[in-house]
Amino acid sequence: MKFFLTSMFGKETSRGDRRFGLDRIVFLLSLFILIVTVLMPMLMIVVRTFFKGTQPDWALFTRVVLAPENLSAIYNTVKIGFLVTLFGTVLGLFYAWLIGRSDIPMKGLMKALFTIPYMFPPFFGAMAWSLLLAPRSGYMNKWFMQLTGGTSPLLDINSIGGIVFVETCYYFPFVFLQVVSALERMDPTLEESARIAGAGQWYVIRKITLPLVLPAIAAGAMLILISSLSHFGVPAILGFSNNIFTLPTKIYQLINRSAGSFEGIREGAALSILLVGVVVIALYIQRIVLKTGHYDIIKGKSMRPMLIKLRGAKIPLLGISLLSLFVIVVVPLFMIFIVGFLKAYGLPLTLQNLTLRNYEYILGQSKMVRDSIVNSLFLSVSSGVITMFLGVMIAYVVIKVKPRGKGFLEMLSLLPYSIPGLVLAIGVILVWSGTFGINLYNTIWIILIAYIARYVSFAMKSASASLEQVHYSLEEAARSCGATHLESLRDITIPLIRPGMIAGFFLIFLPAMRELTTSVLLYGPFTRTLGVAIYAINSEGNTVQASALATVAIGIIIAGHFVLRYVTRDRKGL
Amino acid sequence: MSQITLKNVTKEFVTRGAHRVTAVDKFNLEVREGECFSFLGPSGCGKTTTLRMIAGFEDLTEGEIWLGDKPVSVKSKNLYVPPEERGLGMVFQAFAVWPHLNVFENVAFPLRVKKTPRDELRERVMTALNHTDLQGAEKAYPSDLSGGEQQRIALARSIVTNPRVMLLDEPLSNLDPKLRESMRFEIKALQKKFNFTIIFVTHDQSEAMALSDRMLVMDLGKIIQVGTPRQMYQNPVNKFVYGFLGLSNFLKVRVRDGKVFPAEGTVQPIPFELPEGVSDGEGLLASRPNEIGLSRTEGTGYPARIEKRLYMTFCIEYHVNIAGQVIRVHTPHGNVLPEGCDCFVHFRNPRWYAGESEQVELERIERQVI
Amino acid sequence: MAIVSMRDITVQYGKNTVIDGLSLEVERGENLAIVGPSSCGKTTLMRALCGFIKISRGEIMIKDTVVSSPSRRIMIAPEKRNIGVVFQDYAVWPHLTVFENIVYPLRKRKVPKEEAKERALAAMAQVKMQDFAERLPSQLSGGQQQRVALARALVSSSELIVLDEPITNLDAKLREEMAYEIRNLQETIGVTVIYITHDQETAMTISDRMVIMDRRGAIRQLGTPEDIWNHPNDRDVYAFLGVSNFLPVTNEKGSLHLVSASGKRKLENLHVDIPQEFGSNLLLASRPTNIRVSPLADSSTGIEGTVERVTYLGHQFDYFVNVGGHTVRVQEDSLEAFGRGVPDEGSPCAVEFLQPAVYEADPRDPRFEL
Repeated sequence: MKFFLTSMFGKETSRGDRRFGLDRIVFLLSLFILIVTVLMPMLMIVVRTFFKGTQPDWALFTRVVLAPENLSAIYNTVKIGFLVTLFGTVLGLFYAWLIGRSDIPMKGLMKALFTIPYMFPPFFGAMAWSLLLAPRSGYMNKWFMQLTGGTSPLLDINSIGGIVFVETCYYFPFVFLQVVSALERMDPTLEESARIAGAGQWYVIRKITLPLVLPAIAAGAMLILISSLSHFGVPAILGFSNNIFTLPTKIYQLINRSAGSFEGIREGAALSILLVGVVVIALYIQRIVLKTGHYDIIKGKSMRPMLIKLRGAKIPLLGISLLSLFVIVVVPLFMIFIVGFLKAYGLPLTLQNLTLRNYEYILGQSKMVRDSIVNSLFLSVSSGVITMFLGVMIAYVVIKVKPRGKGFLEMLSLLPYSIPGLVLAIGVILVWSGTFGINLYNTIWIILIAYIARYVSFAMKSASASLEQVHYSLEEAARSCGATHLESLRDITIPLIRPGMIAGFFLIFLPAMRELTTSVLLYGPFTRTLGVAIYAINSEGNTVQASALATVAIGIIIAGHFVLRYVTRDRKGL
Repeated sequence: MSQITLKNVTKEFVTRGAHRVTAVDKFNLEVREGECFSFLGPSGCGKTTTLRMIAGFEDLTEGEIWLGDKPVSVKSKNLYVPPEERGLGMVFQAFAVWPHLNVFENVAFPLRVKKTPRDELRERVMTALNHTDLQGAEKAYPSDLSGGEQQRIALARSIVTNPRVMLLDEPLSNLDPKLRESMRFEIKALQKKFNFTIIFVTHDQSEAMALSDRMLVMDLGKIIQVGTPRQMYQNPVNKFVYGFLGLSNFLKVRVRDGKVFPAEGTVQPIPFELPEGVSDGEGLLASRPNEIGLSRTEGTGYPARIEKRLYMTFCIEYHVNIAGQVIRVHTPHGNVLPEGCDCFVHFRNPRWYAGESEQVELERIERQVI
Repeated sequence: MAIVSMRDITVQYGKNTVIDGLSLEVERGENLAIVGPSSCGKTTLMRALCGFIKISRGEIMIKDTVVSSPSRRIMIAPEKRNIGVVFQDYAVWPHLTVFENIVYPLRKRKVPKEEAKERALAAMAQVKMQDFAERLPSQLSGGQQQRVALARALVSSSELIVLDEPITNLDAKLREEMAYEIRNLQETIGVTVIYITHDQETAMTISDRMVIMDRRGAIRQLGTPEDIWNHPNDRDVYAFLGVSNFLPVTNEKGSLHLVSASGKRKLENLHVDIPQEFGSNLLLASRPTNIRVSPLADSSTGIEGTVERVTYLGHQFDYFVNVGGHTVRVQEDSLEAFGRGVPDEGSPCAVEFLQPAVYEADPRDPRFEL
């Protein structure tokens, strides 16, 4: 053991003994936690799929993969993923360019509004659009059928097209934000030198700007693709009624149907491996696309880029943007809000049909709902705090200590980033349902463990960003002023990363509050989360109550975002 | 005939704190064909803004810019020719070579825009590469090359269209000193070969002096002086220009009865012939460190004391206390005078200037941050 | 008596030996500059002294205490070595005010609050930052941040401070000011200053002694700036300081002949000592300021050459002169040049070397095979 540690730390670090001990502890602790929460679930999935007891067993995997209903689920997943990525990228690119490079007015407002879909879980959108475009009961369809006197709806949201539409609305900000940021950071002289060389505005966009933001586009598109492939909520709400399945919803169905039987979980695990396989292929393609390029575009002096004058097109484009913002952001939120006040779903939206009864019920009478809010708060706060500390520890080890095992540690911490939430949930079930003596199934702790695994990548990236800004000379300066290693951490490093850590906490707290995909497989009778509660109430058909609860969730999320803004406002310091 | 004409060009803008700043103030200039002309000035003086107006990247608040006999920016007529139609070549401070294109494609870009036929394109690109010593590097990418090589890509790209006018915006500041010198010569050689007009913006006076046929010094948005490097150096029009063009000493002096005394009321006057019209009062006696003689012989100059002697690589520097003020003197290596000894100072080429208000210096510092 | 003593130290990074068997003693109260090209190991040396990295062999002593010794298994932590450090990027803590930054070392050493406050204020006054006590680093300029770092280092240790390239990032004027301030502080307080830089010009002007390091991490010369300038140990030290010319010459019975494509030409009138043990292939070393260029007709001594390039820099003229196929750089004061007559580009001239030195040539120098 001593040899192992010395070989890890012996030559690389060169500090005094006390630091040697502290670093060692932090490294081992991080490694242990990551192995238990991340690596073991993944290994268990592989083991359980391909082994029955201790005997290798390929039959299950092949059977599951080749079953026709599963094949169709695979096909749907890929098709939807592809379409959502395509439309989301085009939409995101269009608006990013409009806001980042043209002279369209109201940029501040639009930029703020475009980031709203980012804040809400896509399944809220599915609920909202279902209220409008469910084939028979949706308000817009009913109005349309009245108008035409027929029985065919305007649009049926319970279709692949519907799923694609809703997911696109919620995922396009990934590309939008990445590209806008790249455009803002780009050295304007790269475009100016093209103009001087004789190129007009559009030529410059085609040949210079677009190729240079390609990495940002690819990064954003990849985020969209992975999110769509792993997503549960939207296909669940919009697809079940028409028997449209994607891999995540199929996995859910398999496990639910089997009522916790071992065979069922094994089948779910097998499908999970397939899902992960699809994601890995997507990541590989991205790497190939990005490899053929040389992209250093960040500028030094701060100069404003030349804005393209839209002239005649300004008003129409402004109109289109505002209209789409209206459709994407305002309409769904409004629907959920107003339906929460309806006496019953389907009633016309008039004042006399409004009531506060739904809120009374969910907040006053339903113990299940109150419990779910408490559960979600507990889970979000604790997973936020725990993963932030974990993230800081890992980032510290990787960036500052740099022992020989750091690549492995880093890889482990970034692994969950590309693993779908459902898959993580299955892995966690396999590990913590008694296999190793501890059975946490149906308790809140199993959800907590899954959350930690799920969010550790975010925490690690956020902590890395903060820590990298603390140049090592700042710590060494403290040492030369008489501070021990521990004191320099306490006096210098931690105060400097504290704002980043707080921001990081909220970046985990907020998604965790509204999360569905992971907890939908892990909840027990008393451990529902807020997302599960909304989904469950909606699935039972209590549309108005589901809407009311969704509105409450939206309220919590918005409040959380204001706190985040306040906490990360530009103060003194870095 | 004038290749570039600026008439009353003015540029104002509003800062983030809502102040109104006049970055360029009634700029008038005619640059002749084939000249190498420098804009010299401290950071924030408006030289880069002026260049960008000539290039077409900035609008004018007032005034006109003509290239040859064509107006390209006329505020009163709302005339504005976009940069791509001005037929200029330009080299930027941070090179601005495109990282996603290789060397050949970078240089070929201006020709591809014009849809130049393939064979002609290839020939012209190779010629430009040869002239900038980049032959053989066609397939390399900018990120594989050094700063100096990237600068040459930018140069090649700007000459490939045979422009009549080249604009250079501090193109050498990001290079290390040795490279800066050799690039200077390369640019000059290219100019001789192709005979284009160059406008060169810099804050480095030795660069401006070495390269230019004529130059100007700018301060706070205005042109202070225009002339050949020799004219400027030998006859700076005010204290600012004098100080900007080289190392200087400004001895505070007082004029009494037509004689010049060091500020702290001493008995012996400094031998200096005042220019006409200077009345009694305070002023500055400017001198260059290398134009001052030092000796220990009585009667060869004004009495002073050597406070410090420092060895520099190109001279010996003395800090000399003359009537309570310390000036710098540079002498060649060889004749060494000890620290602390009494000596006599002889100003070989002094000049008289009125002082400058503190406020002006403060404003200069403010402009650097905008 | 030595305040720092480094004996035969070796520092390795993985398989790389950065410093190999270096020994150095720093005298109490002196200002020692450690000069060398980038990545020659000077920063590594400083970090070893401060305790940020381990040495693999040798011993470092500060005053009378052994602080690093692998053989005795001693490695005293940085916080116990009592050295004030100014880092290259200043390392001023952004979340603490100027006062809090400067008082920090006193808090760590558990100095009582009132006394600590007094000492910190005194240090601030010394670097002229007393009006900025409550400001944050983000509200300060680069030069001001550096002064805060300096005050903090002085508070940290009144005996020994180390500065790592602290003024390289400042512009020329600020650089001079800071150099003099450091010098002043050292003279008033009597603190020992170790100054790490690649800028030999600055090092020469502010140090009592200089250490010249080469690329392999070895010490080439140690002495006062005057000593090193007048008696460089070898060709590399000569070349490192300022600008130099090296002409290939052969030694034929005590007289030197220039090697050129058109055969060998004897150099007349050279006053230089050639050590006995030198071989026949030598280099004639000269400084640009110690070479005189005259019209060919006027000079009987001096070797014939052609003036290839004439550059006017204001205070001086730079000439590139071709002598027997080799390019020699010459500098002449502009006042003198105008007096004697400025040569035309392309004109023939006579070149005299006034204070040359000789060194042995590299056996594989291709210029001898012309």
